[in-house]
Amino acid sequence: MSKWLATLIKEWRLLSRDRTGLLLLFAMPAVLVVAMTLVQDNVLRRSGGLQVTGAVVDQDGGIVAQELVKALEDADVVSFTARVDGRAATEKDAAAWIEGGRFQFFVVLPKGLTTAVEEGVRQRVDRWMTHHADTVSGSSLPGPEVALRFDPTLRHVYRTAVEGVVERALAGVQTGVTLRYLGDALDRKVQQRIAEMTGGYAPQAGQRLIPELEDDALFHPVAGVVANGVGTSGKERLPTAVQQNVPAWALFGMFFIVVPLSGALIRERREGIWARLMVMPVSKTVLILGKLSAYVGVCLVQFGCIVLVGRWLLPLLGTDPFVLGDRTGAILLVALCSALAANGFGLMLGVVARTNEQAAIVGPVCVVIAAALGGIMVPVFAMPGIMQRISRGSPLGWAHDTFMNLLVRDSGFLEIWAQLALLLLFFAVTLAVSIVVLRRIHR
Amino acid sequence: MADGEGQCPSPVLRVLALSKRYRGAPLNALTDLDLTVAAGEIFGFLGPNGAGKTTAISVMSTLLRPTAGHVEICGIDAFRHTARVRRLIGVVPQDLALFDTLTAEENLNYFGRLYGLKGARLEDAVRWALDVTGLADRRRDAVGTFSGGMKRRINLAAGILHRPKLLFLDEPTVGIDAQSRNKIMENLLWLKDQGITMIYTTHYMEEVQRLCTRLAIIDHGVIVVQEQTARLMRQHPDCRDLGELFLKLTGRQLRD
Repeated sequence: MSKWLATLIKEWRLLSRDRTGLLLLFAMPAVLVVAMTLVQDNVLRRSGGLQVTGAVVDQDGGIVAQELVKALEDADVVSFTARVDGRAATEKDAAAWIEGGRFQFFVVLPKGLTTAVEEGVRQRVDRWMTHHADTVSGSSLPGPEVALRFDPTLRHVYRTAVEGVVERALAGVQTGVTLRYLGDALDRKVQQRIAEMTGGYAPQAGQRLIPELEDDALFHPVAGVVANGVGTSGKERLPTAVQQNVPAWALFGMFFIVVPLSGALIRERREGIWARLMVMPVSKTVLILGKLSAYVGVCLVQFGCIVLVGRWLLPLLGTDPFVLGDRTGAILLVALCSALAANGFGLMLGVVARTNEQAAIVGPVCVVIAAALGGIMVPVFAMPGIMQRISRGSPLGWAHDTFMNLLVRDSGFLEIWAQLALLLLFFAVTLAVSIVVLRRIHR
Repeated sequence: MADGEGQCPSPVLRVLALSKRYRGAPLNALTDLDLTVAAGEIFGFLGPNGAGKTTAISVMSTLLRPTAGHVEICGIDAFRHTARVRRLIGVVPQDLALFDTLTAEENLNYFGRLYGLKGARLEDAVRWALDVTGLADRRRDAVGTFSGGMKRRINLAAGILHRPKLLFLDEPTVGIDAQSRNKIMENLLWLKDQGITMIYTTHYMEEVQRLCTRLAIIDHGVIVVQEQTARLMRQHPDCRDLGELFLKLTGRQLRD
């Protein structure tokens, strides 16, 4: 115990005096998590529920166009604005605003839209009333079309969202017009039939036999859709930039422990310190455990620091705060398993590499590749199929996926134990390799 | 039998038919080495570069396992009871095997704890080792700020901290000035008076003549001669000093 503790304290002393190592371990992931979160925050907000903004250019001014503008302005997912700086937007203004970055798209409601829609609906309803409904489906109604103009840099996912909102609004307005015409036509038809059957009955002026049909069929549907993520308790959180980046870059920083750890081991071997230790009455296991405990402790402190950055610093810079949720114990367990895996790799590298230069190149390159494959930089689902299969071999991927399960998908232990087992297996294998190689060095 | 505190029966070191061949090497690094060192002796272990001195010290100090042969320290089999033997020996390696960013005191505290020292015993041991090597007033300074001579002295302090029965010194004065070498020589003679037995390797023949009561010269992994220093010189009256005798026995051709 005393020898293990002495080794642990010695390692902490050495690390605390290694300014470059401290910068690498603490400043680098902190800067990365702040920078990457702020860069991605806007993107994820937009794709995760916040609004893409566009202008509505109303060249028609008729009732249909006014209803359409109102429907668009009421939309949740995408933000539409018909009056900008106190005046109606023109097509020229809107194009300039897109170029200036103020809006990402604009919608043009062309002149004659109201007339075209009303005429088209009237013809359709008249056909229904005269038993020619079967001819309507194949016919196309001529007339002006609503146009959408996008910022060329706007990603496809946002264009699809905007198109969906505009199409839904247009369908809703047309349904409303159709219902009004249908109600009027039915009323006329019923009154006409009653007059024919009763020999001249006529209702009082203004009296309707068929009430006016409400136009809320599309905007207030009877049956709706409820969308929720898959989770054990249903307490799903949006995958915000903060929830994604804090664990991701904390892991990245933790795995960079391989640089100081392998460097320390190589230095001890090359400077004869390891040989001196090997002729002292202390076992290799105690020395390795002392060293590992110190560096695993550093990794956990690193993780805590990045969590604090996510919880306190990032909100000051305008992002959401990092939310640990009610699974703090499980999250600490994942952090511990990740730290063990990172340190196992660092230990193996320190034993296998012959020079500091080898370790200083191989270590970070392996970590960056494992991070890229593991979804730290780009989500795994966005990778090509073959890369997704390769990514299953990344310890950073196992750890990151486990964090996402806990932090975003709100999973329980049953959903994460397999990845924890993989991390521990990785640690066991790297530790075993290190011990075997160390034994061979002094034979 | 002996432990770290008790008496060590003589001979302190007994080496029988010791051979070592590194994995994959075509030849032995050591072949049939026989050696006996009595308590209180400073035994000189000489040889040209690559002769096998460091390998011999590494095997005798339990760092390397021998291919064949037997090493006994204070009557204890070094490879059956390695942990017990390691409490009895100290090693001053050729490399300055110290943590540069730790202070002299922190280095010694760490090594002392690995020898099982703690509390007042550890404090006393560290103070004693620093006093012996003349570094007490620099105990709070990082080793990295020390001169070459001071680093050699703190290297010695780390080897004697636990007052070993047998001290292995592998070229402990290499690369330092005459004053520091002289200080280390004085330290070693004082330690000899304290009862510490030493195995000493060096390329400085005047050090051997000053310190060593007996010596062995090794070449190509084989002991060429093993004798009392004074008697060996008498056996070769044609050699003016140990340096000439060394060249006579090992040849003048370069080894590396």
